[in-house]
Amino acid sequence: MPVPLSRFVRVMSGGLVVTDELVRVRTEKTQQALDDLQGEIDRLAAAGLSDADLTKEHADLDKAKRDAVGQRNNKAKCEALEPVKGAAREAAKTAKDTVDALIERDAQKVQEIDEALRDLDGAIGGIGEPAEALPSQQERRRLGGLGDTLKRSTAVKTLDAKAREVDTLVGEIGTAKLAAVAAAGRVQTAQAAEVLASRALAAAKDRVDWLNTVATPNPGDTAYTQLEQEKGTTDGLAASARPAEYQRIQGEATTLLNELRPLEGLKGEIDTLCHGMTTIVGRFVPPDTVLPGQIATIKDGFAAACGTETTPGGLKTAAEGLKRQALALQTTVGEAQTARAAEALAAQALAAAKDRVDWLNTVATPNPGDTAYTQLEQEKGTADGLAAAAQPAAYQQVQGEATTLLNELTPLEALKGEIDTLCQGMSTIVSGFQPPDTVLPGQIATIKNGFATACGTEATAGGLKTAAEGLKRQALTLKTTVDQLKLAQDWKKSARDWLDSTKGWSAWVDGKVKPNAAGTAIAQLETDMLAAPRLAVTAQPGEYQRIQVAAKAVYDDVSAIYPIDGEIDKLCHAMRTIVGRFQPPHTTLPGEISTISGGFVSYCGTASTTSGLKAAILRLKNQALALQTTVGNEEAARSDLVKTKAAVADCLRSAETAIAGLSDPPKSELEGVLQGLQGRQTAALRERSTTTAKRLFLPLSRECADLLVRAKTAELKAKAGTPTGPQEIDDLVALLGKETSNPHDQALAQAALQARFKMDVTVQPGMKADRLPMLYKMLKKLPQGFAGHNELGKLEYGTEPSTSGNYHRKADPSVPGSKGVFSFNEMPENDQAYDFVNDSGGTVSPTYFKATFLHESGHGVDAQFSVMVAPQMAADGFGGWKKEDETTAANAYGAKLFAAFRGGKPTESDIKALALAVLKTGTATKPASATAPLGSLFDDWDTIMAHDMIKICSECRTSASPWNKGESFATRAKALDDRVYHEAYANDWYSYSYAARGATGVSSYQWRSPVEWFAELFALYHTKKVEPPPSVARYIKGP
Amino acid sequence: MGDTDDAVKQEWVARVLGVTFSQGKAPAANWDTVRAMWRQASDAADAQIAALQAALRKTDDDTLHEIAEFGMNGVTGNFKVPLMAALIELGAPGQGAKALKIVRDFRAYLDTDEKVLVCDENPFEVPVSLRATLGGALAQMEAALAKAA
Repeated sequence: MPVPLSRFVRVMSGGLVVTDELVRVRTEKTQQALDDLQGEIDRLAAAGLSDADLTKEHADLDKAKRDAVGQRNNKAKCEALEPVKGAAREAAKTAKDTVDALIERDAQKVQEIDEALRDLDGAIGGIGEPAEALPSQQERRRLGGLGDTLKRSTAVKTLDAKAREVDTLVGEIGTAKLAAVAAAGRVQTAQAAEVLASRALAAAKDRVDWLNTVATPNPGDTAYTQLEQEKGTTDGLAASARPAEYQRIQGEATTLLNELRPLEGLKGEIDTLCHGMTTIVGRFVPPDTVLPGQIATIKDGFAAACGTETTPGGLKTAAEGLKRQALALQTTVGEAQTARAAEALAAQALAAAKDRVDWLNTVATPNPGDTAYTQLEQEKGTADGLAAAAQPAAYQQVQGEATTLLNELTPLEALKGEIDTLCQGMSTIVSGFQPPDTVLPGQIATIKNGFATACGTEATAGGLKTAAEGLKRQALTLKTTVDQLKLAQDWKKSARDWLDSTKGWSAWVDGKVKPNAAGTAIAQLETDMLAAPRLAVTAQPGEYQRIQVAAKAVYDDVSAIYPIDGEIDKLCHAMRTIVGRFQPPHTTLPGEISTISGGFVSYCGTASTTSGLKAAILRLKNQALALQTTVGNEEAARSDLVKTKAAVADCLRSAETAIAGLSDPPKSELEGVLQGLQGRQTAALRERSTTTAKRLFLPLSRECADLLVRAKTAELKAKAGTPTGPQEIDDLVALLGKETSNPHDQALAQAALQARFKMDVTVQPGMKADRLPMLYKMLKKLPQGFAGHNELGKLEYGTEPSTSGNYHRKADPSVPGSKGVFSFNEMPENDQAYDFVNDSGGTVSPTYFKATFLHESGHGVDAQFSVMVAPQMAADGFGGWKKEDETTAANAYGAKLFAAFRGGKPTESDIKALALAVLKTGTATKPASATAPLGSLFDDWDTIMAHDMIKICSECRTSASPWNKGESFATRAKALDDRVYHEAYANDWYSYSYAARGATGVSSYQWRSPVEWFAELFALYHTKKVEPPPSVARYIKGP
Repeated sequence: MGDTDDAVKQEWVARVLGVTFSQGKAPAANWDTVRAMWRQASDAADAQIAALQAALRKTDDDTLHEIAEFGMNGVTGNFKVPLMAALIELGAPGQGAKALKIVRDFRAYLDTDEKVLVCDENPFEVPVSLRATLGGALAQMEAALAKAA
C-alpha cells in the first residue's frame, strides 16, 4: 500500500536532510519571484502609468523574504521562505495580467481622442459649402493640437488621471462636431427645398407641354414661365434664406399643376363622347341633318377656350362646361338611336308574321291571320309619324302583336301537315277494306277539309290554331278505329285460309267416320266467323285471331292423322300376308290384326277433339307395331323348328347307319338309345303349338347329335386300331375341308379328334365350332408325340363366359384322370391376321385362329415335357427367367433408385421400403416428419417420387400389363443386375434377362412369363416357321 | 530425491539395519561468494533509489526536487560503507564478528526506519524493495557469518 505523498515529503525532508544548499536555493527562487514582480512595475512605468497596489505588494513580500532568511536554522528558514516564495510567484503572475490590462485600457482611452477627431472631420466634410464650413475647420485645428499634446506627455500618472484629461478633450471635440452638423443641416434644408420646388415645376411643365400641343398661347404656359424666372432668382441667395423662397415657388407650381392636371382628362372625355355620338349618328339611315353640327361645336370648344381664357382656372371651368354640353347631347342621340332600333325590330317581327300569312293565304282567303297582319301594318305607319321620344313604345307595341301573331300562325302548317298525313293513311287503309266501308271515307274527308273551313269561320289566328288542334285529335281518334278494323280484317283473312285448308282433311275424316271431332270443330268455327262482325270494333281482331289459331290446330291434328292411318294399313296388310302363310294357321293373330285395322272407326269415333283424335290414331299405330313384333317372332320360331326337325331326322338316320356297322359293345347300348330318341321324335312331330314343339325338339337335337358322335367315335376307334386306320381317318377328315357347319360332319370331326388324338371335344349349344377339321389337321402336323398326350386331352367350346377368353389349363395331378384342357370361349372362326412384333420391329402375321390354337398347344407341350421349369428356364437360351416375389423385386429396383440418391439423406433401407410399398399398392404416403418411418426420405420426397424408378415400380404391376409396353419399358425397368422384374399374374412375380430379349425374342407378349415365352415361340414356328432358339428347338420342332 | 526423503531413508536404515550415516564437518565459508551476494543486492538497491529520484525530478514540486537532490543519500543510513569495509577484510581474525554486528544493526535499521518504509511504499508507483532486497542478503550473510563464528 503506497504511503500518502504528504507523509513521503514529511519524512524525506526531515531536519536531518535540510542543508544550507537547500536554504540558498530556496532564497534565490524567492528573490527571482520578487524580481519578476518588480519587472512588471517597471513595464507599467515605461508606459507612463503607475499602480500603488503593486508597489506596496512588492515591498511587503520583500520584507517577508528578509525576515525568513533571518530565521535561526535551515529548517526554520526553509519553512518561512516557502510561503513567501509561493506568494511572490503568484503576485508576479497576477501583476503581469494587471499591467497588461492597464496598458491596454490606456491605449484605448487615447484612441478615443482620434475617434472623436475623425467624427468631427466627417461632420465638417458634410457641410458642403465652403462659406458655411470655415468656422468648424478653425476649431478642428485647435482641438487637434490639444490631442497631440496629451498623447506626447511623458509624465507618469495613474490611469484614472490620464482618463479624466482625455474625457475633457473628447467633450470639446463633441461640441465642435455639433456645430459642424448644424451647418451641414442648413445647407441640406436649402437643397431639399430646391429639389421640391424643381419637382413641382417639372410636374407643372409636363402638363404645360401637353396643353401647348392643343393650343398656344394658353394661360398655363404663361403662368409656368413666370415661376421659372422666380426660381432662378432664389438660387443665388444664402443657404439660410433659400428654403422659404423655394417653398413658395413649390406651392405656386403645385397650384398650377392642380389646375392643369384635369384638363387632359376632361378633353379626353369630351372627345370620347363626341366620337361615340358621331359613330352612332353616322349609322342613322336616313342620315340626321342636325346632330353632326352640334357634336362638332362641342368637340372644337376646348381649343377655342385656350385662346380666350386668361388663367388656368378659367380654362378648367370652360372645359367642364363643354363636358356637360356633350353629355346632354348624348341623351338626345340615345333617344334617336332607341327609336330607330325599335322600328327595326317591329319591321322584323312583321316580316316574320308575313311569311306565315303568305302560307295561310295559299290555303284559304280571307283568313284571320291575313286580317290581323293588315291591321299591324297600318299601326306601324302611324308610329313612323311620331316624335322620336314617342316612337319606341309605339314600335314595341307593333312588334309584340306581330310576334303573338307569328306564334299563333307558326304551328298551323305542321298541324295541317299531320292532319293531312293521318287522313291520307286512313284513306289508304280504308280503301282496302272488303267489303268497302260506307262511313269512314266521309268522316276522313270532313276532317281533312276542316282546316280550310275554319279559316273562313274563325275570327282570330288563335281561334284558327285551336280549331286545327281539334281536327288533329279527331284524326287520331278515327285512326284508332281504322287500325282496329284493319287488324280484324287481317286475322279474318288468315282464319279463312286455315278453315278452307282444313276442310279437305275434314272431308277425309268424314269418309272414315261421321260425326267426328274435326267436322264438329270446323262447323263451330264457321259459325263464329259469321258472328264476329257483330262484335264491337275493338273485340273483332281478338275474335278473328282466336278462330285462326283454332283452325290451325285442327289443321295440324287432322293433317298428321292421315299418314299415320296409311302406315297402319300397310302394317296390317303385311301381317295378314305373313300370318296367311302359317301352317297350321294361327288361331289368334288374324283377329288381332283385324281389330287394329278397323280401330280407326272404333276409337276415333269417340274422340271429342281433334287432339284426342290424333292421340287415338297414335295408340293404334303402336298396337300395330307391337303386333308386328309378335308376328315376326312367331314366323322365326316356326322357321327354326322346321330346321331342327330336319336335323333330328338326319342325325337319327346317320346314327342308325353307323350303329348298324358296329359290334358289341357298344352296339346294343347305342341301339337302345336310338330307339328311345326315335320315339320322342314321333311324339314331338304331333305337337301343333310352335312353342311346345320347340321345347321338345331342342334337347332332342342335342341328344341325337351326341348319339351320332358316340356312334361315329366307336366307328372310328375301331378303324384307328387297324394299321391303315389312322390314315383312313385322316382321309375322312380331309374330305370335310377346313371347316363345316353340318352337324353330322362336325360330329364326325369330334369323333376323329377323339379317335386319332384322344381329345374329348365338348361344344355348348349355340357355340360355333365349324373349324374342328382345321384343328384336326394342325394337330396332325405336330411332331410325333407332341399331340395325343394327356395335356392336350380336352377341347371345350363355350363352357365359360366369353370374358374368360381362350386359354390352356394344365391337368391337375391331384385329380385322377385329369386332363389338360383347351378352353375356347371367344374363338373367332375366321382368317383375321394377328401381328407378332419383336423388339426390332420385325412383324410376323399368322391368322389369329391358328396362332391361338398352336400357342395354347405350346402350353400343353411345355406342361407335358416340363420345359420352362427351374433351373432350365434360368438359362440364357430360355430367356433367363427367375421366380421372384415383391421383396426381391423391391430390393432390385430399390438398389437402382438408391444409386441416384447415394451420399444424400435417404438411406438404402428406406428407399427399398418405399419401392416395396409402391410395388404393392402403386403409390406411397409421404412420412409426417424426418423422424417418422421412412423419415430419411422426408426432405427429398418430391424429388424421389418424381424419379422414373418410382414410376417403374408402379407400372410393373400386372394391372398395368408391363409386357405390352415392349422393349422401351424393359430398357427403363432393368435393374442394376440387368434384369427386368414384374408381376406376371396376380402375386406371381418373375424376372428375366434383359440381354435375352434381343437373343430370343419374337413378340412383346412372350416376355410376360416363362410359359408365354415358350408358347409364343411354339406358335410362330408351327404357323410361320420362325426358327426358335437352338436351346429349345427340340421342344418345338421335335427331337 | 528431496532432503526429507533422504532423512526418512536414513532414519529407516538406522532403525532397522542398525547402520548410521556419518554427519561430517561443515565446510569453510566462501567469503567471495558472500561479498558478491552483497554487491549484487547493494547494486539492485541503488538502482531502485535512482529510479525513485528520477520520478521525483519529473514533478513540478520544488520540495520533491530537493528531496531527490539531497534527501535520498541518507535512506540506507551510514551502514553501507562500513559494511563494505568489513566484508573486504573478512577472513582476518575478528573481522567476522565485526561484520556480523554491522549486518545485524543494518537489518535492525531496515526493519525500523521510516524513510526505508516510505521509499519501499512510495506514492509514485516506482518499484522499490529495500527491506527485501537488502534485508534478504543481509539475512544470508548473517547466517554465514554466524556459522563461521
